[in-house]
Amino acid sequence: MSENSLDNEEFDAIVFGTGLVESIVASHLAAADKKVLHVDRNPFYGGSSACFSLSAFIEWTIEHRDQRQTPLVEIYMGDMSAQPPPTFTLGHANEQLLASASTSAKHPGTAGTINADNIFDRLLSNCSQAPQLDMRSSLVSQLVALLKDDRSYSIELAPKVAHCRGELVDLIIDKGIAEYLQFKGVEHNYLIRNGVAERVPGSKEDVFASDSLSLIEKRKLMKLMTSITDDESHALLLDGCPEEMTFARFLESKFRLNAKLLDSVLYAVARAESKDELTARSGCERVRKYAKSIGRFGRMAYLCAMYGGGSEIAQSFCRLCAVAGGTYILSEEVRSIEKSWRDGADNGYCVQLAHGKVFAKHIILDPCYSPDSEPTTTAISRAMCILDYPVFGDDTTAILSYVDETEGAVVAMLYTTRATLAAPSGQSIVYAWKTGHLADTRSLLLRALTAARGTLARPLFTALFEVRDLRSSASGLSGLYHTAPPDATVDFDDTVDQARQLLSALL
Amino acid sequence: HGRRREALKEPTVDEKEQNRQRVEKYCALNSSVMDLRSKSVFSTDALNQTRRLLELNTELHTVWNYRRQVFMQLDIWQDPEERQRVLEEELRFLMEIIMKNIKSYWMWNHRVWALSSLPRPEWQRELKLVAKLLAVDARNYHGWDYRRFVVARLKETVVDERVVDEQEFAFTTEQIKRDCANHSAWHNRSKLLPAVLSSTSEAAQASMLEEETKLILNAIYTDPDDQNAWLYYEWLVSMQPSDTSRLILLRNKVTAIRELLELEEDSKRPLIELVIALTAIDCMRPELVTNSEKQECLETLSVLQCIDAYRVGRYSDMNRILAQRWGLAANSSTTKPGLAVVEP
Repeated sequence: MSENSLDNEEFDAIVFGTGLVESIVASHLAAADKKVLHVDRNPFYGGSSACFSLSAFIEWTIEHRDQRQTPLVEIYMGDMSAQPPPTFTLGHANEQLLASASTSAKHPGTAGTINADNIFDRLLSNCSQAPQLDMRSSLVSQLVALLKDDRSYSIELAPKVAHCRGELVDLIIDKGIAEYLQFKGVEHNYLIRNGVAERVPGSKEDVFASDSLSLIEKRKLMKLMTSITDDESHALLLDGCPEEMTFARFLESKFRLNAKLLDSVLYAVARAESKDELTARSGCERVRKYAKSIGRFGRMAYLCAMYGGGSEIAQSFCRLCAVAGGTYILSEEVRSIEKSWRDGADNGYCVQLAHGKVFAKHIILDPCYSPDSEPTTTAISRAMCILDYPVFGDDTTAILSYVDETEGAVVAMLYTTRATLAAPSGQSIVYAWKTGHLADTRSLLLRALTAARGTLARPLFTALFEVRDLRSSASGLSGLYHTAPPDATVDFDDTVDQARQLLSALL
Repeated sequence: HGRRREALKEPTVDEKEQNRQRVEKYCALNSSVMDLRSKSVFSTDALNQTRRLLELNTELHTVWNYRRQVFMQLDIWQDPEERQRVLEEELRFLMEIIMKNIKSYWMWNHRVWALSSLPRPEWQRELKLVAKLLAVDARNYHGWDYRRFVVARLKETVVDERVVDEQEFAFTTEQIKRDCANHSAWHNRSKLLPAVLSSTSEAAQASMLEEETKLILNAIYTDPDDQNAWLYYEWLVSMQPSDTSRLILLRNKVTAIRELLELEEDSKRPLIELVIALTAIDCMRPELVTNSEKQECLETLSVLQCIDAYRVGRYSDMNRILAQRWGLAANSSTTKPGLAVVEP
């Protein structure tokens, strides 16, 4: 399609941002014979779930992140044992510097050379807090070592896994896009408490084979799993319980669990973010979902996609959309989105793109695309750490739950290796995330990362940033729908729910 | 998986005709083979025909018998090289068709015959084959029985039988770890344990027994309602050389059961096993069972009569016999709230 032929074109829907929610919505609309235009201002797919090589991730921190959504990125090079200040802090872009940097320095990732010096310079010219000059050669050589395997990294902005018997897996099978994707099982589930990482058994075989549980603990855990997953006994258990009873209280009273088992079930299985977050009823539902997922594809409850879940799955839905007639444009600048009127009647929306003016009845957008979006008070803090050693195994994937004694808080974590092509052989990437702003969660996240890596591994590259929820004043308008970024749960089901809600409004 | 099942369709005219032709061919072949057999024809043509027939229907044991006879009557049977070649071909044929029905006695039997008649059988390869089969179906009786046959023959060819026994023992451990409810693995283990024990020193034997007890208790705690581990424990007790070691095992069993009952008072299996264990101790050394424990047995039996309706007769019988033996009053069924009183 030539560039000019887009001008004055009319669509049923225009979708902005190729994140997972947006892509699921776009593909369903196209399948329902709607004329869909799917636009992304980035040169890559995935939006807030995008996945990058190391150099591309650095480029994202400099160039592509939305400054309102992610106003700050802290990059730490090398060892973090003394909790030093960040090596680079990238804040709001300085327009002048950005302009001069983009003309003078080579963009990494362009044909051929990934040059450590160039990347260092770009970081330097874009950060509000820079390392001392005498650190340059040491830092550049660290970058050189990392970038040697640049393409072996798949760094995700919002890592997530999929419940084996969850909404997303069923949707993928249903839509027939399973052939575009590859998954590995999330083989282990660890609970990190009191500085020790222990495997949380999920199935009967796991319980039997576990070395860290006493016999009576095994019995209690098995009894818990079987009685919560069995429909009849589950109903009986909840029968006498008041509505407000917390899941923690329920576990303590019904199963007499000790602190370690309680933490295991509450955090590692039911994935509560805090002790009193879940009611007994919802906690049981979570345990049932977890137990149901085990056995579908093997002894694990979750699947982890290769090459970065959110991004790969989003791309698969985009492919589906394109096959059904959707139009795709990447690297497209969105200049304005306005209500459109024709002969006094409501004509939906008029969108000014770099490639022309287009019209649509419905607009679905990632709030980053709304020029008047403002950050709200909610945010998720995220941390990503590349380690020089595969702490929990070289060819495996695991989810972890870190229980912090200092604050009594819980941090969700994901451990990835070459198993899902996330890191080069011999290295691993650990993610940690927590609801809240970085100012409040920074030390907690860093403690979680330290606990996870133990004594065997050293960090090579760590990044911390927060993703704020954006709200636009336009969010009340009819025909205009905003999507929410990936939430703090470990799996994708919230994304599918969101997409379904949007689609029921649209179709 | 994930594919919808298609409703059974009424066969079309073409399909009916095809089926009819197939049935006709089969019947013709069947009569032809039976005819040859009745005439005691032992030729290569008979081999070909029986092969085609057996491909269609693997369960014709008369035809398998006949096929064996044909083989043995042929001239090539006398030449060891020819026999080797022909039987290896037969093994390959069996591999192809075993997948149609893994639980066919006749095919396994034929395989055993073929391997027994081979001048140079390859037992390691057979072992690998069985391991694969058991990976697919871990409780297949044919697989385990065949494995025992192969291992027995393998032991004849090796220098040190103990190595084979230990490997097999380790194999059962692996299978049990994979699924602690695998009866076949536990059973096989019981066949191997005496051999493995006898080949180790006295000191090592004690620690081995401890390991065994731990493994069984592990299975019992993981799933107390599965009878496997309990049966194996009973067997372990019975194969002890002395009363002292038997008593130790029984007392350990009682302790474990008491711990389990603390958590779940109404667990059927542990309850009856408690009575069995205490009465077993009583049989050996009556002075080691206290009066309160005897009373406990009778009370436990009453509880069981309430919660396990299918076996009321058995429990009331035991109740009566034990009461008589110990000179105590037989416990009448205690009424549990909400449950009907069952008269013994």
